[in-house]
Amino acid sequence: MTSAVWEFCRKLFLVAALAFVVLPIAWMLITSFKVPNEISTTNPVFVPSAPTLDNYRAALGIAIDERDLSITVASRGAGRSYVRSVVTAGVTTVLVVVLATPAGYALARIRVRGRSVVGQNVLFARVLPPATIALPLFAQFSAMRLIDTPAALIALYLGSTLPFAVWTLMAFIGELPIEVEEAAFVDGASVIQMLWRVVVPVLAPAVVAVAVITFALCFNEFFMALIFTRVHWLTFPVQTAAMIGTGGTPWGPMTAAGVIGLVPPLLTLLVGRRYLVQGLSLGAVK
Amino acid sequence: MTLRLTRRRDPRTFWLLTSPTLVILLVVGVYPLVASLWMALNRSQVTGPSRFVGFDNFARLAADPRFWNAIINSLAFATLALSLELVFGLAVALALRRSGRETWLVPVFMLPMLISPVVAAVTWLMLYHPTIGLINYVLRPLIGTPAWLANSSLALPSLVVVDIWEWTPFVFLLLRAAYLGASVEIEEAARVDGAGRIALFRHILLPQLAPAIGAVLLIRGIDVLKVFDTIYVMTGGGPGLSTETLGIYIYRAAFEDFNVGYAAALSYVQFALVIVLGLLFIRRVGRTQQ
Repeated sequence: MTSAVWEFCRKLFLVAALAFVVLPIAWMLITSFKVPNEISTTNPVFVPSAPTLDNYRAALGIAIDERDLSITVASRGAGRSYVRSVVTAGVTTVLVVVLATPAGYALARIRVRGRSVVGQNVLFARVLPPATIALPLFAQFSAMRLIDTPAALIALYLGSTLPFAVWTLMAFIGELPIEVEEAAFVDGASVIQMLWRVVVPVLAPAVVAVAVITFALCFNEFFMALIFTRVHWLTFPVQTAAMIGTGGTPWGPMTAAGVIGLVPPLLTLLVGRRYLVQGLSLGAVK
Repeated sequence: MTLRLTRRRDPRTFWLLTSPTLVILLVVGVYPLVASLWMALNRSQVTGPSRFVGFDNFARLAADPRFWNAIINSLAFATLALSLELVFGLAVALALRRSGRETWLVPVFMLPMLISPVVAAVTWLMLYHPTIGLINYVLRPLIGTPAWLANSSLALPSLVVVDIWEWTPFVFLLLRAAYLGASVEIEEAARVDGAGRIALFRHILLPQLAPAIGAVLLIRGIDVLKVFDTIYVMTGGGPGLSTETLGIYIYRAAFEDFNVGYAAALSYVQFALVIVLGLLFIRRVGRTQQ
């Protein structure tokens, strides 16, 4: 095969891959601005003739419209569920950073017996299937009246995100030069002081990476939220999924909900994309 | 010097810094793992007290055709998704230039994996819709209008496509990182020596990418065996039981049939499948980082 043909095939393949990735998202975006009869048609409308924000109002449960009563009933309180998801993910993220930084530091730097066993057990938690965790904790949390509370969800999300956070930060800390830390110790700083003054500033990019990934994972999480929330702490993904099959799927509002739900992870991508690889792979590839 | 050594070997500091994390993982990781084994050894329902039945739940499970159906669906889903994601991810990673103008594609290719699985499911539900869906609009002149998700032989492959859409970006990202780390000099030298594209790939690139490919297969393998969200939202395991994977069956047994002990036994089978890959993963990461 000549070089020119090869180059043509390469470009064609990339264009096809790009189309496969982007088209579904673009279609969701376009649909979210359509009026109902432009959605329910066998001849797709590619440019909405009269772009509307009605779907967004319905998706957030704002529009109380006789026409689409079933939709607003299904999405009632969706705005609140969005806030709940942001709060849950936000609190979890802060806690993960606060807990994982010292733990990652200790695992990377302090050489005591049992260190590698502790490290491997932390990583082990990354592997556990959510169902195995959810079943006994559901019974336990019910007895403790924690079902449908933010505390339950945050505890579960800490369990699922701490392992990767600790391991990622550990990997980053392991690559920092140790001399600065030791200089701080010579100056008489305590471990916590040293962590705060010396390690955290240098580690900032890694901390940001861990934070954004944690936030996106928790904001998007579905399985645990489906089981552990009902009404008072219903999250946005569960609310969105519940809109399906309430008397015919309301495509417009659902695509609008999809676009709204896209915002936090998209911000994640913008802030932390340089570090996503390391974070997501637990530093398994070096 | 002595100060430095005591700091770096002090068990008290070590446990002080790690214990908050360890306590949390103990409560929401180790405890439920042990407790669900106990549940699996009991017959517990919502009404009435639970009673110890030993391995009864596991014995029932072996004779349960729905269990074997779920196992087959899970393994079929995992095998299809994993192999296609690897092929496509590797192809895109190698097709994209190392640097220059094309790199703007990298963040775009990352989009699907950051999108919530529920949103991905909603998007694809619409695309697959038999009458108003974009896919059938394109295919109508060629093959008519199949009901992708309502057809018991098309539903599982259709769901695999969604998984490929969501997670090939992850495979791509890891393999691209490995590709960027591979030696350009060796590649150039081989090219000067007249190595063809195929030979270059097989003998120069593949050996360098092998560790990354191994890592990708492990991480994705662990996660794809736990697949739940998109299937639950898109088909709920149907039509019939044709897309009921282990994850879906566990959920239904526990939260629709309230057969908690049996669900716990099912979840231990899922755990057993995952743990094989998990232990390999831990060994591998442990080797590179400790």
